[in-house]
Amino acid sequence: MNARQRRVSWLRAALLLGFAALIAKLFIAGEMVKYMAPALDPLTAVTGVVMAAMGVLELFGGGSPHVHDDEPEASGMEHALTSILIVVPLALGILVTPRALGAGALGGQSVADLLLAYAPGAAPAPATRGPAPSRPIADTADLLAYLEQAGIAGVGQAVRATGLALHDGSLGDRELALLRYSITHCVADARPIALLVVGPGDRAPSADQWIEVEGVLAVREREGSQLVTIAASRIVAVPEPPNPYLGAQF
Amino acid sequence: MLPARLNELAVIFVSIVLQSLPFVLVGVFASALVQQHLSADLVARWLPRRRLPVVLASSVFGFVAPVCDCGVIPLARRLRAKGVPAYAATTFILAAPVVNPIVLISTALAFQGNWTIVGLRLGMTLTVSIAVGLAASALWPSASSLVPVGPPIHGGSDDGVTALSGIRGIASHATAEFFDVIFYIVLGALFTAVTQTLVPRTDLTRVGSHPMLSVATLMPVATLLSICSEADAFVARAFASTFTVGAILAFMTIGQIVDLRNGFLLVRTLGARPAALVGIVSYALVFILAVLVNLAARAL
Repeated sequence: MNARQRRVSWLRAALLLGFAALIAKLFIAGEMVKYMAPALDPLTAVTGVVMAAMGVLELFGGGSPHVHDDEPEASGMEHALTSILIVVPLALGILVTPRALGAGALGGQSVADLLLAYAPGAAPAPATRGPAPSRPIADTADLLAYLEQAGIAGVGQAVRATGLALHDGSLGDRELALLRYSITHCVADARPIALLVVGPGDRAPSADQWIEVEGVLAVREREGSQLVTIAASRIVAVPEPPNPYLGAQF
Repeated sequence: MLPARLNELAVIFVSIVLQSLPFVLVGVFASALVQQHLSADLVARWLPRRRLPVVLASSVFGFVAPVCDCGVIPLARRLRAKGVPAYAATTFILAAPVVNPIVLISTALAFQGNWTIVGLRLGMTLTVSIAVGLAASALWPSASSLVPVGPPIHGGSDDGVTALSGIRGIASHATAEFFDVIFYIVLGALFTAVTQTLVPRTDLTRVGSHPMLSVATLMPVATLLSICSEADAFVARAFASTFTVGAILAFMTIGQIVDLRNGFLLVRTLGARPAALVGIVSYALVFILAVLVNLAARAL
């Protein structure tokens, strides 16, 4: 191996070990949930281990060959360009403290289009009570699971939910939307889910602030839809939860 | 602390790269195994001699040699050198990046086990590759358009290889393959993150819900992005909420046939006219098939 090949080999080893270090840092700092769904954690961890092993082998194993023997070997400029581009996500992942997606990620979508509605059908008789939840509804995931089970029959159920406060011209007085994103694999496939909240007073929380809402499930008619509504008795500002995203099931 | 939009861009960009890594690793190790252990002589011996069976066999040969679009052309050149007809090698180049178990499984994972998407992707790719292969066999039945090959393909023989050196060899090839593809994965992730962050989603949705416009929009994007077949389904999945299913399928099909990254290599390998035929026929067929899927989806 000549000096140039050795330099390329060291560079490759550094980049592979860099990816392994990035994955380790995100797990240790508890930041992986800001990028990926927890379901992929085992696969990501194995990836980190494999990349670390590849880096060590590249460093001490004499370097990797050129894959395509019949093509001219990449120039120093090509190696430099590749390395610079690969360093960008590594540096961003290691140096930047990630924050959860906010209202800006809606990309101009109207809140009215995102609000969750009950399945079309007749409203339940006033005396009808929905099924009791299997456990107290203490967060948005519990609430969405309960809504799937009970539908509009769940009206009147006491609930607590957390999300981002969202204001929009399509909402009425004392109304706001409670926004959460659900992700399947990573934040690139995030889907917004919004619940209508009717506040207890005139003082609305600031936009993009994480809030906890306590109240009861209700229904509001709008443009032919029966919107899932939380008639709030209490709204308080809270810090961003450790895992700001809902799972793929929602 | 980064401004909100910049933070959003950075988080989406890094997340796509992180999400792609495991599947890129699976692909490069599979490719390294083929490189190390599959002999081109053996492959050529298995292939039938008549045109239609050859094209059909070539279209599904990716199940035996699961190489992504990054490794398919060099392998096809080696197969051609061992007596595989040019039209069969062309069919293999078009089909193998998608018609192989690794890519089909990664597509299923990306789309949460939606086997309809997997089946449609498989069907669309097979249709295009077989059609182009048959057209090539009719136009150039005895063409030796593939340029003369270079040195003999490495691998395919275990003689004198110890277990340790074998593992080290596979790791070395996998590392080399990884650095051949990772540039384009990162570039594609950056492009996608910028698009998602800066292009208003309402604009994308407006274009993306049109049965023909959505297909016409995403096909050139796929060609420009040139994303590896092991990872493109995850990028396509990010478009799934704003684009029609036909556009998503077109993105995943044409991106593996006509892309910037392999374009020059394809021209050098097939020659200018056959490469142009591949490009034009593939674009037209994928567009028609994707629009038909959209119309069928609307009718259901």
